[in-house]
Amino acid sequence: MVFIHTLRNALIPVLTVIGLQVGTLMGGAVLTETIFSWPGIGKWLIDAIGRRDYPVVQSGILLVATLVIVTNFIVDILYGAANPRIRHNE
Amino acid sequence: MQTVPHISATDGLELASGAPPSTWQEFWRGFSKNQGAVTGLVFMATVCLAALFAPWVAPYSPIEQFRDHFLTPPAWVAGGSSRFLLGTDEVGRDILSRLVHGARLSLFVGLVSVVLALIPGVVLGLVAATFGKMLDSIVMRMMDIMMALPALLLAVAIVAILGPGLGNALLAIAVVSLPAYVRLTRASAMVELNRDYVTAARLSGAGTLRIMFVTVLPNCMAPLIVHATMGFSAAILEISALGFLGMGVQPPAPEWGTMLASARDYIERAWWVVTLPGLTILFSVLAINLMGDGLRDALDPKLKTAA
Repeated sequence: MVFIHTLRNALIPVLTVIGLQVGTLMGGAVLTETIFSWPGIGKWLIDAIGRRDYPVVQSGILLVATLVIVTNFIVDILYGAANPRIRHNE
Repeated sequence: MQTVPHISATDGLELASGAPPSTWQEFWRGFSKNQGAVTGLVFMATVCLAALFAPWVAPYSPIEQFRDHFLTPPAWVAGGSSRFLLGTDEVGRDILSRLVHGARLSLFVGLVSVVLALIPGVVLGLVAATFGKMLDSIVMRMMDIMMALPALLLAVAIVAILGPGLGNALLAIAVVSLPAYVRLTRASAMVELNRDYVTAARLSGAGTLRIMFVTVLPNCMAPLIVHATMGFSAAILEISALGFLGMGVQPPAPEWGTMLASARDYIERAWWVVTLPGLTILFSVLAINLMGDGLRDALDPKLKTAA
């Protein structure tokens, strides 16, 4: 009962926040990876900026932006799954 | 949501005199109810004063090096000396002096980046709301593109293109926070534009510019002021993050984030070199956020439940 009916409706704001948090997390990863020198996108980007390696900077930022957009797109689709009333019917 | 209006002694006095409370009085009454907000205000006032009078408040110059006092602990820790209240860093500079002078930089960055984002943001938002379809789509799609990039990453990218430095970091932070202001202004301006008083103003012959800036804008200010306060703390965090990554203010200058970054190697031997700038950032940002919450409750009661 609770899981099917309540969770469904309660899930919508949670989904929105998940979508928005992905961006913040990717930004935070830049700092975390630099501090602990973990080999991730963030460290890679900062090193590339240090080397003035602009193609890497461009592609890295494009990659992160795409990731954020795709996640938010998936979130938009999941809205429809969580609450059929939101589905856009043509 | 009190059903019974609470009438205190001062309320009665004001009712008796018949004069309605001025806008400031009303604002202050709402604001001072929030204890956290008042605490934040007091803390920030202290920081502002310390920043304004930094050369007199700080015991030493922020770049003066005491060659025989490397990594001295704070005064209350064993081995600390009362000459350096908060200890010294890896090249013997007094941390208290650096924090006080750093407050100058941080507050300056917060103020300038908020102004740099607020003015174009308000203009773009009003333009998007007033001149319908075409311009609205262009402006809002641009803002959507900017919002697709994580804030810090976009700032890093802008600094990477323009080169590190205080001016470029400022510009980057302003650009990053622009979309929020545009969206906020557009949303509230669109509501206000449909109100009767705007139609009345239009009928009595007010031009588009006058309607935009004189009629509508003052009624959109409440959420903007609140967001600008929050933007101030976000700017301080971002300049610290950029300084930490070596892309903001450059090392000899006493900036909180830069101090954190240069002290990172000493975290195991000398905790105070890292902890104190970190705590300063934490408390300033917390104070501003508490203040922002109080402002929101006082200026815009509708937003109280929203976030």
